[in-house]
Amino acid sequence: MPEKQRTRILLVEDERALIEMYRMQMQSLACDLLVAENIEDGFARACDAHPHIILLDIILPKAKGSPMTLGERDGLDLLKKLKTHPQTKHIPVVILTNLDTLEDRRRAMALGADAYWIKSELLPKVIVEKLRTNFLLKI
Amino acid sequence: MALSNLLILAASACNFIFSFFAFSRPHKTTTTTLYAALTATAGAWGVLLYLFRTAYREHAILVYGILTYVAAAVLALVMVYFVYYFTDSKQTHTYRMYVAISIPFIVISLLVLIPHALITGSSTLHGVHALQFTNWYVVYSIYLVVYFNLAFYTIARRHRDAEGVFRLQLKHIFLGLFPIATVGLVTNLILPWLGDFRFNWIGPVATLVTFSIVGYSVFRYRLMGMRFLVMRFLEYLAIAAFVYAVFLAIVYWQQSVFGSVFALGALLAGIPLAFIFVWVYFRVQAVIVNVSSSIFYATSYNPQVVLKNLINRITAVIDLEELTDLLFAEISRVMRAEKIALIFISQENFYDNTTKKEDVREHLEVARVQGFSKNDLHINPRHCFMTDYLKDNLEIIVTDELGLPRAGVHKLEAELSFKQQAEKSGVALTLPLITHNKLSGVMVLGEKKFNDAYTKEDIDFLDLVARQSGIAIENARLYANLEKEVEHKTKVIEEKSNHLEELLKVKSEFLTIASHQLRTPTSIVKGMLSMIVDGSLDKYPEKRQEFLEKAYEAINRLGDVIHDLLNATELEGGEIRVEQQPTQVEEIVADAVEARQQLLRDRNLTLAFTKPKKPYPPVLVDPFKIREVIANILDNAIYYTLEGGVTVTIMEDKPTHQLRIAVRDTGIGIIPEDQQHLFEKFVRGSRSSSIHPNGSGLGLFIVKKILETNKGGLEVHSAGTNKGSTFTIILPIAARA
Repeated sequence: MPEKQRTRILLVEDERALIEMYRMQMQSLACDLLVAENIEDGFARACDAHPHIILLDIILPKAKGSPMTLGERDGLDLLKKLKTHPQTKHIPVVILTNLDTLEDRRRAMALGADAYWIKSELLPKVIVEKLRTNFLLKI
Repeated sequence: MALSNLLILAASACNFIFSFFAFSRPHKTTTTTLYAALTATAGAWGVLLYLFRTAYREHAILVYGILTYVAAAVLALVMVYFVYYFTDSKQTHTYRMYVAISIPFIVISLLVLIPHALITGSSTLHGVHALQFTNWYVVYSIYLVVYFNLAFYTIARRHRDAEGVFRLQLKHIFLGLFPIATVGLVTNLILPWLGDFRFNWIGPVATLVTFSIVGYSVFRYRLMGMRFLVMRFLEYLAIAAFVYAVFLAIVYWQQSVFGSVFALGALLAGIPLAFIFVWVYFRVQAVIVNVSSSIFYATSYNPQVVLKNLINRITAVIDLEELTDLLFAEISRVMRAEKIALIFISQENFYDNTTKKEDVREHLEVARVQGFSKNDLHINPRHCFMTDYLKDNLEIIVTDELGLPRAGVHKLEAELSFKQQAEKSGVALTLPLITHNKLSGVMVLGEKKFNDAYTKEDIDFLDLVARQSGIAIENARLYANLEKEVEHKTKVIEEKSNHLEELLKVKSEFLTIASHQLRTPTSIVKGMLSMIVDGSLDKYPEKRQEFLEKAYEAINRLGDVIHDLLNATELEGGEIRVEQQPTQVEEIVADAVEARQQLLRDRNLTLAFTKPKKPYPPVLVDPFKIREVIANILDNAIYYTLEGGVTVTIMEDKPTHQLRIAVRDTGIGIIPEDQQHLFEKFVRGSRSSSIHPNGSGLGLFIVKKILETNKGGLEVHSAGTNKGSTFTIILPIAARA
């Protein structure tokens, strides 16, 4: 498959172990896993790399080197930005997080998230399967 | 003896009694002396008239006649003296005026005394003694009329600007002079001129009425309304007439039927009659009183009715504002008082600086004022002249009556001082409001409109009103206090409820984050192990090892998070059991250092700590918790140092009785922005995830809490990025027993 046609998945996640895990899972698949470890990078990559789908965590540092306060849902701010910015609003965004409250779910869906998945409930290969079935990604 | 002559003697006797009474008073004033003279003259005139009417010899008749007319002239003169003096409160009447008035009298007297100048002779016709007059009688008449009119005019003029009781007195005197002026002049002056001497006995009787009224107004301090007096007198008259009539009827009946009042039949018949009479009497009395009330009080206020009405309305009101409105409106309407003030006395708590304890003192506040200005009354929050005085006498104070000699008055000085202030402030009446036998307030009234005085009825009425109001006001105030209390309590409850809501929110947030923290390592373990198990990593054997290690790390981290969470929730309450005991801190540090030797080797770091030879003074802390603190701080130092090492030093700070354990590292340092938030829950330094991804964010929060509960502290210093940091643990030295 030509480079341009390979599915690009943008993962915005700061936990290195998880990044490694997902990378290994998608190693043998026909997709490119792009990674951003903070909000700032996340938005930048979304704009310039044109991913086909974005997997977005909620609790993230704002930028490289800024403190991460566990109480803040910066990921949702990024979601809002992505869903309103002309360059990125057409990209489906899946919230991939361990925050499991009704309030956060509602907020995310209201802001335009296309799905809300809990990391600790989904094995990596299940995530891949869901991406295929729900979003019809050819990976 | 003829009835008329008897009447004359009786009237004269009464006049002499009045005179004696006035003259023998312990506090003699010129007024009372003049009054004594007046009544004595009237008595003398009456006696002379009696003698004139009953004399036998013609010569005697003439002499007594002349003397009678002289006496009448004296009476007129003394009357004018009296009125002049009584109305002269500003003392403008000079000696000369009195002399001037006396001159016509002397002339007239001479006129009467000189034989045949005024009176030419006497005669008797049908038993009635008479005199013959010359035309100079006109002059005599003019004299009498002028003098009477002078008296009236003086009183009327003075009455115009008189105030209070004095004004009332003048009114009484004016009205009192009327009987003798009108009746007496007709029967004793005019008719004799026309030849009719039959009715001259009425004159002395008229003087009796006159001087009773005048005497009353001079000697009574709290005058009843004139109207009231007349009404009462007529009521008595009506009832007396009724009783007398019934008595006569019964006697007549008994005598005609039984022959004598004392006959057995009569005595027996009298018994049921007596009962019937009593029953009838009360009915008649009620009728008479009602009729007289409606006649005399048709246009004025009827105290009973107004009182009943007012009390009904007062007891129906619980709102303090409304109650005060009602009282003010009614009292100013009924009493025609233009100035009213209501003062409340309450107890307030305050801190006494001299006795250094909580105490209670009185607090005065002016609840409502109308007509007065607050300054007039000189009320300050602690006291005012009215309450000071009222405390010793819990009764109505009529300013006009103060300072006058009365029985039972001891503190004349206090009275006079109060009177002075009251007059200055315009206070005519001071009413105490009493609840539970204590003074709970004061109602103050100014003068009535048109400067009328407060009559006895007014004061009785106000007394009752004040009593009822005292109770009603107390109730209203209690109710108002209660409302305030309820409002306050409701606010407190609201605040507490809001606070609780806040706490719940915080707690729920904590749980959310906690579960997130627990889930993160779980997802790592689950994901990675599943990938190994299902063979996804078969092609990457080195990754298999890596994932196993990472999973292992994650499990450890999970353990740490659980541990930290439990610690944090335990410490959150702030009131945990702390088992403090004297602890050798260098032991704990040495142990912690020893346990981390392998970690240091792995990371290629040095740790400098020399255990001192001489032990430090023990610190009063919970050893297990402090162990955790030191472990945490050491871990941080080690994990956040990439190269170099850690130095631990212990120092004793003698002045503050503290031990300082400084852990210095050559690590990544802490930027100022982070330093602020370092001890908050779930906050990690900005670069920490890259260095120490397993941190839970709770570590320093827990450390801080532990140190706080052990009465210690923590200091952080860092020069900046990559310039290392120093964490200093501060612990209190155990006091030597």
